[in-house]
Amino acid sequence: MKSWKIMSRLAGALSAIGAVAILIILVVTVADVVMNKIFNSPFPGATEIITSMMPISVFGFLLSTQIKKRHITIDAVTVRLTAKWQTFVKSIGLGIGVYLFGLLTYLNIPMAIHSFKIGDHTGGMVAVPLYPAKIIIPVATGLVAIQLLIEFSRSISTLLAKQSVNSAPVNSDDIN
Amino acid sequence: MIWFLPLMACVLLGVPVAIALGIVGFVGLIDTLNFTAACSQIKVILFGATNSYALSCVPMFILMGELSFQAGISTDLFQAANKWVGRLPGGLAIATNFACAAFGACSGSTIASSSVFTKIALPEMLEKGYDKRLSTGAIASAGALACMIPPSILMVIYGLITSQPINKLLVAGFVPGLMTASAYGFGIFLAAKVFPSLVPTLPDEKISWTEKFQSLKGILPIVFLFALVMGGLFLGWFTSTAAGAIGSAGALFILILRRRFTWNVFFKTLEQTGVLSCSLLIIITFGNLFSFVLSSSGAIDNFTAFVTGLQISPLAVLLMIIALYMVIGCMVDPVSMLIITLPAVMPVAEAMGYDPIWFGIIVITMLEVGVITPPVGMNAYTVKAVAGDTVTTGEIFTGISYFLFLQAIVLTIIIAFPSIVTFLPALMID
Repeated sequence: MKSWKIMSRLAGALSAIGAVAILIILVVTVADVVMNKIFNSPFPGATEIITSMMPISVFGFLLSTQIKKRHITIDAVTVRLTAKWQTFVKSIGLGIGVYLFGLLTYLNIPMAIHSFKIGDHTGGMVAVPLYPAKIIIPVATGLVAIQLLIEFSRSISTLLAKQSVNSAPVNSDDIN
Repeated sequence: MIWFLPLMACVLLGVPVAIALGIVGFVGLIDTLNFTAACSQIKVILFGATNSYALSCVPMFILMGELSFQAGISTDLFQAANKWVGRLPGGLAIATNFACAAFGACSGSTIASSSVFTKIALPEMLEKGYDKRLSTGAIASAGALACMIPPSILMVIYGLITSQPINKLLVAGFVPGLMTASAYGFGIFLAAKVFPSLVPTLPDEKISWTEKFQSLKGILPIVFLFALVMGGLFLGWFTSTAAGAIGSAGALFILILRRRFTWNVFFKTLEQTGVLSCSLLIIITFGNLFSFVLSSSGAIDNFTAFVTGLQISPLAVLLMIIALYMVIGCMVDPVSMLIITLPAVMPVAEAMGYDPIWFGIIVITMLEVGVITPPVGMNAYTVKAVAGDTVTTGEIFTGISYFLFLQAIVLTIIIAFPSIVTFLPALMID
């Protein structure tokens, strides 16, 4: 329960960053169109700002999407399985997810540190910093890996609990 | 093409599509290159794929849809459509069909359209004596039109995957979407004429022209917004991202105008937009990895060479592709279907000489079919979930089967006369 609360709060904080990125994309795009059409002069660095906000808008919501179970999943086959098999199959998926996001985090941390150290930014007329986007990626994937690990351990304990219930001798309470 | 097997196995076993694409892509990379090179590739894919201006139209169109949804235009659309066509045989169902299609255009969501109109229109239709199958079939099928009628998110995703101009794709979807909505409307009218027992007798009350025009007052802002977005794209004023952003700003203005704006609603809308965009864009990101594996392993070239080597006509190949989408559409959701199939299907389509915009419309039509066919049929289950025990899933799918027949007629016309799709994009100003 405690871990759920912590992860939800972290998801909320990351989502707020993602929401700000979406708002920036909206405002800059509208400003660019208006300035282009009315003043015949584009918003300086509009494309660079919008482009650099995109990873923040995606990865800012990654943990929320996982917690809210909004990642696209096909359950046409799994709904036909028994509860035990559903949990088993789900555990495999979660295990794969832990490995994938764990690996991505491990690989992206050095990139993020390097990007921060050199003050990574876009080229061209307006230098838009790129390191915030590169930092949010391992933060988000790392937190998703932890969330998946929590879900994986819960899934395994459910599976083990079910197995012990199934292997227990039938008593009169079960029959009633 | 061997990588499709583990991918489909993972997807069908309930592994989230993004994770399935990521892990199969990674294993494919190890097989094609080696572990170290595979790690170097996936290290850069997350930033490389999302750090893109083209992708920014996805959250903008989703935000426009979410804000339009919050503006509560559905009831006004339904009332206006009812005033205009409600006096025809099967009028209430026809009105629901057109209102649902128009709402789908604003919201871009098939599920939102079906869910909202099951709430608004189904109780009224059932109360007036409309057949359950016709009523629910009309709602589920018309809700699916959100896939086609611009601004459609699926069309945007098709453009992103195939590198086709998104503005042209969005404009191209207008005529086929309108054709399908009209075919559904005419189909309901015909069913009411041939089988009068499906619909109640016509009401005696007459609706004056003044009432008809007054009913349009409520939908004018949204009509203006739609015209601005589509007109802007057509006349080359906006890029697709700009069209989405202008649409979002306009929808926000309508929300304020209708006194439905609260900070709570606004933050909730932003959160919904972010979560939905993330779930789509993360699939596109890992889809890039999977596509890279397919192309670098030579699988796509081999598959294209195999299909072209079969020496069968382009029409026969198209029918095979349609059959493939029908089968996969029964199991997989539309976005996943696009991302899994297009890397292999698109090169074949190009080799066959199909117009990529026209082919996109065919693919999107098949996705429309996918959301209303069992066992996945998301729209049918949405109608069932909202309607509760008043209707069975079997009745909904029976109703849908009639609309599938109408959809097949429209698809045949589009295949026979590709210019129906291509003439409007050809007139666009770049």
